[in-house]
Amino acid sequence: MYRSQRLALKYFAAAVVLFGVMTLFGLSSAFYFVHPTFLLNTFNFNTSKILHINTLVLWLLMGFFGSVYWFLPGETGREVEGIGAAEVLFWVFCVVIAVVAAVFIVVQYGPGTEFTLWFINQGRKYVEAPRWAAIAIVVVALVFAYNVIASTVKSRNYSGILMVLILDLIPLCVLYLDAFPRITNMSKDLFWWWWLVHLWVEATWEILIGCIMAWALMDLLGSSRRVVESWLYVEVALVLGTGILGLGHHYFWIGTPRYWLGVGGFFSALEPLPLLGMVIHAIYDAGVNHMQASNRPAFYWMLAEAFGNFIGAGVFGFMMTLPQINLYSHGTQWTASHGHFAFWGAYACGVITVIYLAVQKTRGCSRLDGRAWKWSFALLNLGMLGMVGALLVAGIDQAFFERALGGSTWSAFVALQHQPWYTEGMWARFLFGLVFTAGFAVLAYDLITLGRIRGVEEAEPVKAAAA
Amino acid sequence: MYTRDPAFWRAAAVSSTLFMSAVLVILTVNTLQTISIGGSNVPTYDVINRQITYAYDPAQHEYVARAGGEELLFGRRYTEKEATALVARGKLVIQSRACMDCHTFFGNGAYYAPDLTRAWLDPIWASEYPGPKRGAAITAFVMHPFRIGFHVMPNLHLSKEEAQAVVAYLKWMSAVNTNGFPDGFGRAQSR
Amino acid sequence: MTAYAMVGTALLLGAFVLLAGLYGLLYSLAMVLERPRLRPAAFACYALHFGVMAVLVIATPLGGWWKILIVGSCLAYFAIPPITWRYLVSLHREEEGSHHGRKPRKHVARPVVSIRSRA
Repeated sequence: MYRSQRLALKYFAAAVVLFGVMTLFGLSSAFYFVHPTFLLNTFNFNTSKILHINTLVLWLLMGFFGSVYWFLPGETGREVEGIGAAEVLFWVFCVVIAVVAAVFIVVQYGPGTEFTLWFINQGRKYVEAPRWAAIAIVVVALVFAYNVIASTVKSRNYSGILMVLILDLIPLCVLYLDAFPRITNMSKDLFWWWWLVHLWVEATWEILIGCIMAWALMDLLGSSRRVVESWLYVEVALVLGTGILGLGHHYFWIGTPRYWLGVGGFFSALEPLPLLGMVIHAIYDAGVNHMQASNRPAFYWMLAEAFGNFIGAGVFGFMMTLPQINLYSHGTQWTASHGHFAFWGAYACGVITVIYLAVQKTRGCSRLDGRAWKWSFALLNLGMLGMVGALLVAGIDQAFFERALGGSTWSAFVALQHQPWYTEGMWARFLFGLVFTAGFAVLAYDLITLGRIRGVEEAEPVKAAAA
Repeated sequence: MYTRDPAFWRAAAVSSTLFMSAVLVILTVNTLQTISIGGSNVPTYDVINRQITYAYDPAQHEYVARAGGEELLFGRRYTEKEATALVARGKLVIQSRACMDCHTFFGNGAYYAPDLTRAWLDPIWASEYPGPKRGAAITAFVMHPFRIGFHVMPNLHLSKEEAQAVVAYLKWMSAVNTNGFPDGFGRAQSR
Repeated sequence: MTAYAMVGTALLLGAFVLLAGLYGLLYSLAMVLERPRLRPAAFACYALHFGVMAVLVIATPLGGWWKILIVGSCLAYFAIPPITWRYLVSLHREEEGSHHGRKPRKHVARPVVSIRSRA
């Protein structure tokens, strides 16, 4: 095993830990909605929320880094260039995260000075990490980019996947620089903020996970490079073709010109089309392999990714993306519902797929199956479906009563808290959050013990042999 | 067939990405003019010296924010420079207390607490406190929040000077034009 | 848009995409599982999808341009599953025929992917 792959395993372990932290703070954040005075003035909602969404970004990012470190040596046929620096920076990354989390938990907020932004909290949603930590993240990302680029150049293997990945790393690093400025004008602040949030998540991350899934497909199903690369290019063309100007659906109501209503609505209405193609592709692969693979958990998580992405981003997104609807749905629990489902489908399932692939290789299992992964798969997906369903009901109720009828005032907001659909939706979300947490616990147990303590062949033997 | 050649799709990927990026850059240049301070949608910071309204405009078929005659904040007339400094301070305070991780601004944020886009004009304040007195009332609330309905805002220990800067920020923000968001503002205030 | 129209339109828009997805799912399952009986079900889903499109166009207060966009994407949704499917089959078949892959080391040889021959 390459050093790079051992580093990947560390990244995966850290990602799973942060996934757990995210889940716990998600659960606590959900509880505030049903019990608003919970820990009031001691540990306020915003701190819980900050920890929830920042660990979300970080565990996925660590999952992506781990995945690339995992597949890169196989792709280039050599050890990753500058692996020593990468190993050191992994620990730096972990320490930075721990310190930032400790400051968030203990200090929480500071006086209205630049000092606060540098050392405590930047207070822009998703960009709460203080500037010193943001600098550290930039350094980690730059070394990561160096690893990929230098290894590619040294190996002289300019494969399509590597070239797409390298080109994608440039905007990935550049866009993150938006984590530093403080802009007084909220319209401008949010304009650039969406470059970071949308273009990271709906463009560069999509490409990054596309490259990772391309490797995963070759690894798991033995798909040929030519097919996978063609598919990757199609995906890049469609995702960036619709996603770059899909940015416009965030520019409806922040002070930006009217034409964004047309541009944003048009391109985000196109976004579900390529997602349907991905569903077809997933079923094709599933059929060709007779729903069997040497690594069943990875295979099922890969399928879950295609379906989750279609429903979460496609269906839930289209429901609320046209400006006439979005005028009311914008900034309600409806958005939260869409956000949860889309993140889950597009990224979380993909990272879990790769982690299972790595577990199989590391523990030397020719075949990976069992009972635990099925439980975690079912509980996590059921929990997620329940949460987004509950949030959807609550969100539609909110858009209806608070926004469309109530005119978005504070009184309308207060009145909403007594709407039965809303309050029951919030309770249901919390309860399904518990189901999700149980699913995470089983997932963690499975990943830790699989092939170590428990056998891997406890399930029935393979039924279908290839033709 | 050419569609089976990866090179075809590579060309499609590169060209669609470049084309869309170019369009985005052009739109960005134009948008930045509109949303700069003093642009057609975003007022200068000294708008805090004036009365602000947000009402339905039949000609534009949407709610429009307008700045009217003089209506001083905290009984002071701020120069443009002073207003800019005060609002900038307000933004700093808003970031330092992570307001956006409970509230929303122009609908962006955490959906846990009310949207603040038109907070300055909200009937909960405007009906009881006419313009000149409203600043002090909201300042007092931000410093020592009291229960409004089901929700309570935590006490984030703002100094008076910090709270006033936040209120100035809210007043300035309420004058930004946002294509009619939120719609029907105050339509059913006593529901 | 009134509050009722807003909720109704949004739910229709969700159903519009969901039914398109169901159509694609059933269509490709019919191919994969070689169950021709699933195909009418797939087209029934598309018919429902088309019906939702008609309701969106006739009965909702969406703007004219959005309605045109919805009609256009309704037609595109019809074409996506068969075109994608045929493309995937031809891509894989060509691949099985000749190894163009730069590095065929990991390639697992599979029988020609005419699904029909594999029951």
